[in-house]
This record gives sequence, structure tokens and C-alpha cells, in this order.
Amino acid sequence: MYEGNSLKGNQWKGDGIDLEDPYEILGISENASELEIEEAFQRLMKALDPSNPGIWALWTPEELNQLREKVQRAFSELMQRKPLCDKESFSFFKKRTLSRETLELIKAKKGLGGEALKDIREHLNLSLEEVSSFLKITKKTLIALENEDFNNLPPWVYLKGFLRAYAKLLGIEEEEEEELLKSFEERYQKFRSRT
Amino acid sequence: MPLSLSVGGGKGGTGKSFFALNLGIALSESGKNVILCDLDLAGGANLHTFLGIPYPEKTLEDFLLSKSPLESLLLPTYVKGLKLIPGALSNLSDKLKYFEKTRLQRSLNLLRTDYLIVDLGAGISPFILDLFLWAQKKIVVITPEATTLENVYRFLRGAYFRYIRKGANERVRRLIDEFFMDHNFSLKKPQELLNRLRVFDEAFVHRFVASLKEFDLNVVLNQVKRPEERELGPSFKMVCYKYFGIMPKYLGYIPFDIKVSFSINRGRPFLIEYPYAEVAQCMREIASRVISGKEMVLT
Repeated sequence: MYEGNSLKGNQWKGDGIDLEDPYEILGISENASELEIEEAFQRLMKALDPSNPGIWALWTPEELNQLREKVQRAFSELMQRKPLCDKESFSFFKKRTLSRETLELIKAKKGLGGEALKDIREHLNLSLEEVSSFLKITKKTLIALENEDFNNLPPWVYLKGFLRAYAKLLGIEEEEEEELLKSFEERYQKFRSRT
Repeated sequence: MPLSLSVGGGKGGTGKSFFALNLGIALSESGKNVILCDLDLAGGANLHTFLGIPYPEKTLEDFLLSKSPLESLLLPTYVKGLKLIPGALSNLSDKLKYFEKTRLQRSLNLLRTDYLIVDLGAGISPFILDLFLWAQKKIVVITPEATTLENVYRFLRGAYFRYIRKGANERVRRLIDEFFMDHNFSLKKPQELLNRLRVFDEAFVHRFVASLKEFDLNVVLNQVKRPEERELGPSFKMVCYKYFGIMPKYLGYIPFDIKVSFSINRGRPFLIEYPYAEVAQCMREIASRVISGKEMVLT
């Protein structure tokens, strides 16, 4: 036995309600290592076993099977990613930044939003998989981000964090980063007020 | 204000009082000042028995019915730094009113000590649930048996629904009450309630779910008889997370030991009688985790 901080218990993201994010389904933070992901998966599968004492007070065996399937899918999704990048790759990423002109061009075209992020990413020859694996954000969320598909994006408090991380990765500087966040938030609030 | 810990969890026999008492002893052995308060109000108050005090002169009954101040009920024990407020010897559960509970909570908060451990005894009444929720650290004691696990789950469901109702405005409370009157919801999952409430007041649900991260639920696995049973600690954590959206801290496990009943009959606490037994070692580890706020991690 050794002492440790809660298995990301107080740091897990999301609001705990049925979202589709695999980290949330497994109850781990986005910084979880592969080992932690696997441990969480195994613990959950064992915990949701219909033969566990007392568990029928909470779920029927059918509901438990559904939950287990969901956990399995979440685990597969996380394991399909490329291995996490190390420090070397980070400096490799850092070397690629957009020239001022190109950035202005992109900004002029459609303003600073999801589309701009996609454009910049493509200009830098970064694939969605690379970005996803480096930022530890699922590909699905990245696509939703670039398409401003708010239905598939988490609440603003988390979305903000993703945007900042993504902006940093793409070499977007502070002033533009704030602009990006502001315009994103405007459209996010508009979406929220409609639903 | 002391750090308050509540010990609850459904039916009797899981070892709540045993745990509360020995946790108090282990904490005072670390140099902390501890007050143990026996809040079993259904006639099951036993903490004084564990400590070899057969007939406490004044009990919580004096506070609740005769308005004696809590400080006047504090009994020193032969463990330095540990004091006891003995529980009522008769069944008071039907004599208590709502305002008594707030008076009790206020008085408990004013006690001068480092740790205040409140043993809630068996039961799932609103009074017990509110006191369970009032404490900063909420501890449930489970054992590997299906029956005690079921009871603890039911207890936590009661606590959850009580908790969400507390923080709600009148409109949301009405919605929650309606939810319970709906006969189609047979198992009444928290998820279902939240989904329903979201439609009416998403901001409330968002705030509520965020507040669950600060809930500070802790679990102790007691009376472990076989090594495989230890898995039930981490298992319980995951089940809580999936069902309630609350991730409890696993404080540790305590093995079953027949010497526990010997010490009870001798009126001598286990940690004093058998300080080198595995049970005692586990209790001390659990106490250090309570102090550090960390939990047990299985390698």
C-alpha cells in the first residue's frame, strides 16, 4: 500500500452528467497516463459487474451491461490515440509558427473562430490526430471546436481551457488569443440562449 | 470551528461506532484534540459502553430536552485528548423537532477541539441525513456483505436527494417532490432527476453538479475476511461516481478480527487493548489519511 492523492477524484473534468467524453466516463483527468487509463477501465468494469454484492440496489443487470459497453467504448477510444508526445516533440511543434502575414490573411477571411483554427492548423501541416494526442483532447471534440458545433462541446468553463491550449499550440499570441476567446464566447452564449 | 466528521451508513453492525471510537483514539494518539459525539438517537447509543462507562450521568438527552449546554456533557476518557458526549439512552427519534437539529448543529460548531467525530448510528431519517450532510467529512462504513452494501447505497441515495433539495429554491423543490411522486420512476436514479431538472433550470443543475466535487464523501471497508474482498473499496468508489457523480475517497480497509468482540465485552477500546494487531495498524493508517486528506491507493 502506498499513499497517494485521490485517483483524480477531485480533478476530473466535466459535470459528471452523461456526456460522451471518454475521460469523464472513466472518471479520470485529461492528464491521465496510459497506465491510469487502463487501471480506471479495469476498476470500472469490475465495479459494474452484475454479480457485485449490493449493486442491484442501484441498477438492473441490463442497465449495468449498457454502462459497461459505454465504458468499453470510452477505453477503446482513448487507447486508439497515438502515444503521448514527449518534450522533444513539443519543441518540434513550437518551431512551427505562422508568419504574421498568413495569420492576418486568415483573420481577414473569416475572423477568429473555429474555421480560422482549422486553417492555421492546416497551414502548419498538423493533423487532427497529432493535435488530439498532444493536447489530450479527443478528435471528436477538436472537430466540434473547429466547426463551432456547440452541441458537441462541453460547458464554457472547459471549452475556454481547450481554446487556450489550442491557441498556444498554434502559436497564436495573447492579443489574438483574447480576441478568439471573446468571439467564441459570444457565439457560445448565443447558442446557449437559443436552447 | 473543529473539523467535523460524520460516520453513517444505514443498518447496524457494520462497525460505525467501533470505527468512530477508534478513529478518535488514533487521532488523539497523533496529538490532536478529539471530541466524540454519540448521535444515535434511536436507542442504540453505545460509545460509552465501548469506553467502559456503564451509566453516564448526563447524556445528549440533557442537551436536547433540558437545554444543558454541550460543554457540560463532555466526559474525559482514559485516552488523553479524547472526550465523549454520551448518547441518549432512550429512543428520542419521535420527540425531536426541526429546530432542535439547527440548535444542535450550531452548538457542535462551537465546540473547541481539533476534530469532532459524530457517530450517527443506524437509520435513514431526515434528521440523520441532515446531520450526515452537515459534517465537513462524511464517512460511510461498508462491509463486504451484499446487505450492508445495499443499505449504504440506499442511505447515500437518501442523503443525495436530501442534499439536492436543500440547495434548491422553492420552484425546484416542488419539481423534486413531483419527481418522487411519479410512479413510473421505480428506481429513482439521480441521473433521471437531474435530466428532468435540466429542462427547467439548467443553471441550478450545473451549480449543483459542480458542488458535488466538494462533497467530501469517504468510505471505509470494514470486517474484511478474505483478500479478494478488499477490491470492494475501489469498486465502491467507482459505483458512487457512476451513480451519484460523487467520487468518494477510499480511506482504507479493516480486517475482521474476533478480538474486536473481546475488547467490547471488556469495555476497553481495541486500539488500547491490542495496539499491535493488524486492525490497529489499519486504523492508524486511516487516521493519518484523514489528517492528510489523502486516500488509499492499491498498487
